[in-house]
Amino acid sequence: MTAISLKDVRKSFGRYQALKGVSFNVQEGSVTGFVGPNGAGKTTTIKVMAGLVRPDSGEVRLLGRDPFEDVEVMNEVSFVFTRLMYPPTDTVLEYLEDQAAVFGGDVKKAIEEFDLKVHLKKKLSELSSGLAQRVQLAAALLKSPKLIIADEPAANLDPPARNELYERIKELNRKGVTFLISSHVLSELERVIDRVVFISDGRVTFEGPLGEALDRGEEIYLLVDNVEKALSVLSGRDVRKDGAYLVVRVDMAEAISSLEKAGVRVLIARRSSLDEAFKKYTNLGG
Amino acid sequence: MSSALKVFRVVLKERYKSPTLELIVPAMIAGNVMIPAFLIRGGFQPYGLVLSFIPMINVSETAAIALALRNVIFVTGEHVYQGFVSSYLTMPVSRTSFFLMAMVSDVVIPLFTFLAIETVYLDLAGILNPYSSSMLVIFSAGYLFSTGVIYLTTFLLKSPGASVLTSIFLLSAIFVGGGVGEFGLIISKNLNFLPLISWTNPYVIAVAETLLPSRYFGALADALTLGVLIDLILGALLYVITLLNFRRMDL
Ligand SMILES: Nc1ncnc2c1ncn2[C@@H]1O[C@H](COP(=O)(O)OP(=O)(O)O)[C@@H](O)[C@H]1O
Ligand SMILES: [Mg+2]
Repeated sequence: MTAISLKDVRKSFGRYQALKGVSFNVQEGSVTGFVGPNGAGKTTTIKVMAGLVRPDSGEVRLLGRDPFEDVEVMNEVSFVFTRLMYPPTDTVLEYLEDQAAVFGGDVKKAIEEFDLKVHLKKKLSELSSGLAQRVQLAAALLKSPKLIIADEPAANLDPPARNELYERIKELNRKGVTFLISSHVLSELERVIDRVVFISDGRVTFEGPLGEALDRGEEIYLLVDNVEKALSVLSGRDVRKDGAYLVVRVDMAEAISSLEKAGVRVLIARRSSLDEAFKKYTNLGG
Repeated sequence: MSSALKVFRVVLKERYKSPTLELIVPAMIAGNVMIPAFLIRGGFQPYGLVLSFIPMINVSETAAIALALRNVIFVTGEHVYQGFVSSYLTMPVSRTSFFLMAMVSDVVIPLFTFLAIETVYLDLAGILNPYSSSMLVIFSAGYLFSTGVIYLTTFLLKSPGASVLTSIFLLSAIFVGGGVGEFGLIISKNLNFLPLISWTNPYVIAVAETLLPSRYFGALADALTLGVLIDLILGALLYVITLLNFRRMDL
């Protein structure tokens, strides 16, 4: 079954067309990345799913239901925004209790699970970004949602907080929660998503398994422990450096075995860089 | 409990957690100073009673309007300007229901609190009568019109400062300008046009009516009734326009 389905969703703000016919599906059980550069239309699309922005035309279904017609679907879908969108003078406890009053759920358990005990009396405006996202996720889980839609949830987080968030997402996904997570940086999501939808300039340009998005290049990207030695092993072939990576046009298995034989350890080998995939599907590559 | 009722509890709580009512209710109770003032002077004086009901003079009425102003602009409005409303609208509740919930919490509850306190007070003071009850009706109509103006400016202007200034300027202009106009018409005995502007400030007519009830043969009372009706209709219209605007607003 599909958890999210959008068909030809269009939305203009005045004369500016932000969504030019967005269509994609999110499969139940997946963690799907929703990736595109700033201004591509990610937030607008997510607001359409949340019923906050009414599309000019097109069809939106969350768990098979239209969020504009059937508001009860919100009992099964949670939204996580970049910022915690709640009156900032409310305390963490008030926020959690309000959510539980509407959606049910065990506030005590959530406090324990997310380690919030010492923060309960803090006002929402006083929370660090990492803590705010932890609180937001704790609140989002009170209703035991089937689907969580998150708009750049890690945008303001430092690496430890980001890791913590992704670990929690993976764990929840193992328990069966479907995720759609937007980001303007693909590499940030690669560890957590299994599928990806690319959006660029209000249109979806790719939809499918992450591996398929990457497995398109003719070049392979190698990260090795000894660049000089690797270059001499691969000399005579089409090879260049791209940041820390070596970019080679050869058969991957052959390149790895000849490098390992020469005592060069290959740390990462991939057919295409995340950047390449991002560029290709977001029209930034020209 | 239905989803809508659960959401309503949360919406209500956001507006009336302490110390809001703890401040407003005592102010309303203590604010009826004008009424005993004329009672003490002895005898029953409709003129004094009417005077005591004019907002700005009557602290209770001013408190009710102030509470509504705060609720609409600094709670509901702020939630819309800052995007916090998205948390409420991703609860299982339609936009129309949410709007009605906000409206009931923002303006209907202050009005009913005021009416309840006032009715009890007037009853205890032994002056709950047609005069005082009609003053409550006149105030309620003006209140609904005024809060309608505040709602519309809040949703249209999307800035707390601009909403406060615009709605207060607009309402004062209508109230003071209309009052001066009515005064002129009554003084010049030009009562034909009075019903047209009676909605802007019913109090001037109410005062004239109680001062000289026999002189105008009911023309003032008719203008007063029409004014109340127009206030109610305009108020309802403002609320409907605001709701239609809110329903298709991108948030
Ligand atoms: N309320 C709005 N009014 C006018 N333009 C908007 C509005 N919301 C978004 N846009 C425009 O729509 C485009 C897509 O925005 P957005 O969905 O926020 O992109 P993203 O989240 O991918 O960065 C941008 O060009 C943005 O300026
Ligand atoms: Mg965005």
